[in-house]
Amino acid sequence: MMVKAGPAAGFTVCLAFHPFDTLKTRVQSPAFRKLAAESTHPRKMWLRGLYQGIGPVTLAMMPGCMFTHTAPVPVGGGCTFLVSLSDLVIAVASGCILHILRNLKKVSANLCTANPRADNARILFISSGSPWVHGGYSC
Amino acid sequence: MVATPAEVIKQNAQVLRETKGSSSLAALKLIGRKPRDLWRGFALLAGRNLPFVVIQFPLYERLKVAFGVRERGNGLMETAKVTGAAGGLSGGVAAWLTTPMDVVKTIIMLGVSKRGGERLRAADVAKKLWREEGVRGFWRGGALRGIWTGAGTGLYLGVYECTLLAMGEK
Repeated sequence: MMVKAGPAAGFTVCLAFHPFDTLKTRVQSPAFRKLAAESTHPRKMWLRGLYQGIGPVTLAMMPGCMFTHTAPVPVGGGCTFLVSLSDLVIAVASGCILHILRNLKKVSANLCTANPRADNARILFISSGSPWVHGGYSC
Repeated sequence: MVATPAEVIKQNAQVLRETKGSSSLAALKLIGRKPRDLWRGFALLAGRNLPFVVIQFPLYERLKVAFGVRERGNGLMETAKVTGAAGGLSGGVAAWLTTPMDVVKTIIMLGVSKRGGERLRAADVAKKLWREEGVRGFWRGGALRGIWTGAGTGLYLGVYECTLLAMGEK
């Protein structure tokens, strides 16, 4: 249940905040700003159709909500959560970058001497403790 | 791979003025017949999302400790407050800091539609922004993005941590 709760909560938050995302896109678009400034009802133009573009967001988030069987990951407490591969890649990549930044000297020494598998396993384990691997809010 | 086409279609749909029926389908028609265009801005999307996670995640962990989260013994309400505040602040800061990449990404993705016409390069867009608007141009929509992402992240992480606590995962 927890596996589905993460993406489902992320999707709900995305839906709730989509109007702000639309406003942000419009603010950042030079063409839209120009059109709105020339419009006779600029306020109406800014505020109409705030849920435009919700379809692709829904479709893109569906795999995270529905298919959670792609990769088993050990999480603290001996549990195994099934997570989507894209979330796992982001979590592991960010974990690796942080680990390298924090332990630059140790990692460079490990490259020559220590068993790299042990370190990789530790990075994966640390990363998997993050809620990001459960498909979180990343709009 | 999935997020980029969704983002391209979504952003082009968001700036459509008048549509009959689905705005996303109308945006897809405007983008044209080159499937490659749907992946325009892929590097910028990754260049925005990866730093976002790298800033937000450690900041969240540090703020949780600073705001007084404990391994055990926090009540549900206390956990909600602490993790919500830490998540909100870290999400807001990360979103605000990654806004320049978001602005360039948006302009490039909106250039995909036939109405926009031209094929834009990130470096050219950044130079033009700097020349015409300066620093303010790179942070256009930054406050909006910071506040809404902060609120969303705080809500999401607060609910997530509370659910974990309630279900006895910690």
